[in-house]
Amino acid sequence: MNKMKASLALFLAMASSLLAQAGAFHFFDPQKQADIQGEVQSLAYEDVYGKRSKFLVLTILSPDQRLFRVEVCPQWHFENDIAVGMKIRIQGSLLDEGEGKFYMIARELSFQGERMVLRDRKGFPLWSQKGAPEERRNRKGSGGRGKG
Amino acid sequence: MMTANDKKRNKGWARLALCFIIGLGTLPLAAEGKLTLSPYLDYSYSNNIFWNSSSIGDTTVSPGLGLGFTTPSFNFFLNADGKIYRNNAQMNSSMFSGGFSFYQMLSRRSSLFFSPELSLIQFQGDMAAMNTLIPGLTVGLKHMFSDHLFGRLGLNLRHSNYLNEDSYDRLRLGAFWEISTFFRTQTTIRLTLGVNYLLFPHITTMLAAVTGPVAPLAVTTASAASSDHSRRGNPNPAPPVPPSPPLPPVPPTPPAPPAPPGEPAPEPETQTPLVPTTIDLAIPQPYIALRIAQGIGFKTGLIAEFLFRKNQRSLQGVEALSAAEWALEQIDEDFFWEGTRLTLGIKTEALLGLELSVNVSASAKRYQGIAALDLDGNPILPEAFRSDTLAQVNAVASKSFGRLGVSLSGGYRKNDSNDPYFRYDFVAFTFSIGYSF
Repeated sequence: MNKMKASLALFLAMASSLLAQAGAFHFFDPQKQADIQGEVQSLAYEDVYGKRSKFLVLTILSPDQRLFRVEVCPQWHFENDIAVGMKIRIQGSLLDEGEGKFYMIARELSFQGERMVLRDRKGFPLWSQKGAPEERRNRKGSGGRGKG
Repeated sequence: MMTANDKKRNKGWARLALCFIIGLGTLPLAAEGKLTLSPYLDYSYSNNIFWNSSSIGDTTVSPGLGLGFTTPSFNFFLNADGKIYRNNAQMNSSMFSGGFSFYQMLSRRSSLFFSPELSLIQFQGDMAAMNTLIPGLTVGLKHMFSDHLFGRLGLNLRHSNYLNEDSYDRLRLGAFWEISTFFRTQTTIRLTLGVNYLLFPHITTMLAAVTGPVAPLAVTTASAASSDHSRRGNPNPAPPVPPSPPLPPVPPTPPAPPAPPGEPAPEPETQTPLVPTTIDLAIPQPYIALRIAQGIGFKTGLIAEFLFRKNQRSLQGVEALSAAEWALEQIDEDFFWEGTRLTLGIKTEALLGLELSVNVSASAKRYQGIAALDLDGNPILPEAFRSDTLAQVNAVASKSFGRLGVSLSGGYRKNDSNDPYFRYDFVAFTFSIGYSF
């Protein structure tokens, strides 16, 4: 019994320690999905989920002059460059943080006609996924880019 | 009574069924959100499955299953699919691939990408010669010089290990440096400089040494690629044959000195038996590509790309392998030609929420070292190396309905060549449907 109590105490201590590191926690809410479009104002890599992994975070200015912070994915855009000034359309889970601040976890991005699907409708990450039509067309081999 | 062919077909279906059952077993995990599970099905028709003058049409069904598992730094993936031909069962194949990707921020502006992958492609019967195990590795480094200027270094290494024919084995190394910049006019310009390097490390071939007291050693190959002749006009394509080594130049034969009076005349030339020999062959291929993308509003983009690549060595010896272009391009090995390609494309989401893309391209392809032949396999006159011009148009329409994704694609290509075997038209349509758990 004492062992169980000690284990429970240790678990609670570890959990509180993790929560303290994580800071403000956002989660993908499938019930609050929205579409926004605007111009990229800044790019940053932030420790969104503690220090485990840096996420690309965009600041978007919409045509009605609202500012959105958009969480994209971990160190993504290796193959696709998003630049400041680019017009972009984003679909995702929107959180109103109050005081005119909005935070979005992106599900899909579109820019220059390219669409990037990052998460499924429940918000589960898809950036590891092979087998999308574009990926499997012609049975391309290794994840390398089809250069040259 | 089951024929051997039926048994082989059943074996293929059994493998697919096994994958399906394994996939079902992972459904509870998918429901918990620990991984993604994506079954899909492609149905295709092509009027020319071998991309040559034989113009053999067929339909194919390709069921497949993708699995993905993500951790903060690692992305694991596993994929299995089959390709089943309606009228050309000898072409049926299956592919399994798996690997992982790893991302790491090296600094505030630099990131590292690392992804090993292993693929296995399997055929049946005579085509089993094409069974291939392909370990591959991709390493990339990206640096943001500014919010508008990006640079990349990339390296891709792939070893195609043919399980039943060592001579086919090849190592492909691709390295590139790229810089891209974005302008406020919504224009992105990207310049890529790179080199491909293709190495056949151990081509086993039969060499015949023609010797004689006066003739120098003259080496000729019993070229496996001489099946170039047999492929002409043969509607049943044989699997690609191993490359043969380039023929070394034969030094001029000095005139034989006259035999002194009273001495026996020199013996006539003798031909020794064919001797198996292992040689290697390497082809470096530098290239340059320039890509311009123009955004129009939030939903449309135009793309133009120019590519030029040049082989640094003659292709002599890889005739047969390069002839199976349809097979090579399916595994991203469209390597052999040199020349230019211009591509123009448009992508838009402005119509009915569909994702539409159309691109047209024109290529001038040269195959230096590979003789253009007639349909009987004899060199055309005047003799020339193979030279093609290719025009093609491709269109894709995709739409997602929740977890269900469907797409329809169509393509047309017209290849004109001084080698009549490669004069062809090609039309293909593919309907794809996929679901993500």
